[in-house]
Amino acid sequence: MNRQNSIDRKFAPLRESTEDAPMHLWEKIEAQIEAPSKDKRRFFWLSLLGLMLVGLGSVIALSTGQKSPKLPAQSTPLQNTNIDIQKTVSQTPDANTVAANLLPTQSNSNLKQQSLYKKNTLDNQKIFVDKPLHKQTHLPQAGQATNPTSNTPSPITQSAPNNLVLKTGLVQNIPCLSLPLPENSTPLPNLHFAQAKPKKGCVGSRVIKVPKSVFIDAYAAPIFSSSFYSARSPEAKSYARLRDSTEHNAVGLLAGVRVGYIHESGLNFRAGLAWQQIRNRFNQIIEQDEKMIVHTHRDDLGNIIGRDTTFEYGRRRLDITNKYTSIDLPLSIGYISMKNKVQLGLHVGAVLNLNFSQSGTYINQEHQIATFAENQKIFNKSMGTSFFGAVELQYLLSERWGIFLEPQARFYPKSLTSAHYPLKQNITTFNVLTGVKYIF
Amino acid sequence: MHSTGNKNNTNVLYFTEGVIMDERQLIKGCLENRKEDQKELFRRFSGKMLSVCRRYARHEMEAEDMLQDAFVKMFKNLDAYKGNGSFEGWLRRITINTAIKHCQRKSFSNELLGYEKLPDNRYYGNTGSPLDEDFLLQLVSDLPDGYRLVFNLYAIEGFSHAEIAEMLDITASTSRSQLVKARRLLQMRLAEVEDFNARTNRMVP
Repeated sequence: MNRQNSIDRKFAPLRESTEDAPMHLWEKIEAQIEAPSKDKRRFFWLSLLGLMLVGLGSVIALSTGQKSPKLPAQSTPLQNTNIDIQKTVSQTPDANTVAANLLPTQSNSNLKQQSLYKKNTLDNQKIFVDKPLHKQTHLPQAGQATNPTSNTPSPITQSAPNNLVLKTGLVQNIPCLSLPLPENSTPLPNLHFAQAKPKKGCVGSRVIKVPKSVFIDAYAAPIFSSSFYSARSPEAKSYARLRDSTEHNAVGLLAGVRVGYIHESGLNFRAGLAWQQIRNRFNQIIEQDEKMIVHTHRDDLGNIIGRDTTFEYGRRRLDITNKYTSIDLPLSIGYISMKNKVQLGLHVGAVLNLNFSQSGTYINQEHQIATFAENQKIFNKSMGTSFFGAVELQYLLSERWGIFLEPQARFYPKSLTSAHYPLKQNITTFNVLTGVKYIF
Repeated sequence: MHSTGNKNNTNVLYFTEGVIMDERQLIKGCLENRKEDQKELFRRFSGKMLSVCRRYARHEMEAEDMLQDAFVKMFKNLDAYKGNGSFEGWLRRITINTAIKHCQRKSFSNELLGYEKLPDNRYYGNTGSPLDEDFLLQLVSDLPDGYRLVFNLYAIEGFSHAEIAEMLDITASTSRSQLVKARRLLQMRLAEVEDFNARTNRMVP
């Protein structure tokens, strides 16, 4: 059955028509079947995963270290101590490591049974003392603090209210408390020993809990960014690929200040103000560019007597830095653990964008070279909220000052471009913050 | 260049750089991710497929986008081609489906991409023959989206109204109606062109 009418017959030869396809299309296809478009997105997740693994590994390593105390074999006897029983105890759950030698000073009768106070010992025993020992915060009354980070032994002798003489010192650079008693004295009858598991922050562990403090820090960082375009509709895919192929990542800059608070549990809160400039390079080769050269001719007096204008034609390569500048408010929460002078922290947080501006050059939808300033509707007014994960490594130079290194991966869930623009532009960054910290 | 083969086009031989390549060998090479075979496959079929895309697209840029998407889709799903029927037919079907999807979402993107600003390439009688392929192609491209799709699928590709209805998610009667309107519009345009050419020829001394 011939279903075609005369119009159909006129157009039927179009079925077999053929034309030359441009080979530049093959290059685009090849790139697309070779490289998965999600490669750039993997950058953020891999860097975040890497950071988390490093952080987790460090925490596990530190936790494992707590379970194998080495102090008993290495401990050094303290001066001026007549030791019958030597046990090490921690003073309070959050206090420094303490070694205590307990002997009665006057008589056992002075030690009245009031309340039992449990203390963990180095050899997994608990000491039940008749009266609670003074907390570490009360001890350094004689003027010399038992700073866990200090290397200088600083023995202090003072009287405790329960007639025990307390003496502090250092064992293997760990602040200690000793209780010297007269010779020929007998061990305290009211001391009992029981098996107990060592607790975090107790004697035998080299991990020292971070003292409660407030700090301020200042930092600067290079920004390694990954900017990628995705089409809002299938028709804009080729334009997205064009933008991706003409814009390449470059190193940006980040600087800021933060104030923070460290709770004795190790929890850490930070807030600050930051300036950052994410950069990328716009590269484009103009195959047939026209360059106008004007030669001005002047007479002896400097008057212009004529101009020669010549045009040169050739290939020109454009290499322009695009800048995305923002002022942000970073907020974070984290956990910090400390080992001697080294502090390790894991942080997660959000960055609120306060101001966003951009300058640069790009290829527009008509495949012409244009500047961002020519089209104000490309970008959103704000970069939105971004999220980050970071691992902080800090070294204490003194009681007040520290330096730190903080690799940080940040993800911007919101597109930089507005909803009316055919392409979404998402950015992930990897920053390595370096800075100084002052502890109040 | 020389090519031979049967009517089903499944055993076409290509003469490439001194090597005669079987179509199946070429596909096998593509499946093994050999770049030269992939390029050769593109070179062999891109011309015909671009022509298909041109009929569905309103301008060349869009046709190239369609072609690119169709080939990417083809390469990514090449293992689904089991050799039943001609490879060209399989690829043509992929290309048509890709083109249809482009057309269905185009009304939104036209505005965003500024395609409406592209110069109108319409010309009448410049080629010397009103039945020149480029001219006919231009007439089809100028049809409204719905008419163009149905006319292409029915009059040129040879699909039935029932098949078109399923492909475009419309009813068979809508397909018929669109086809009638498309034919009428094309007939009017052809008449206009013939009239224009007749007047132009009269003006020439």
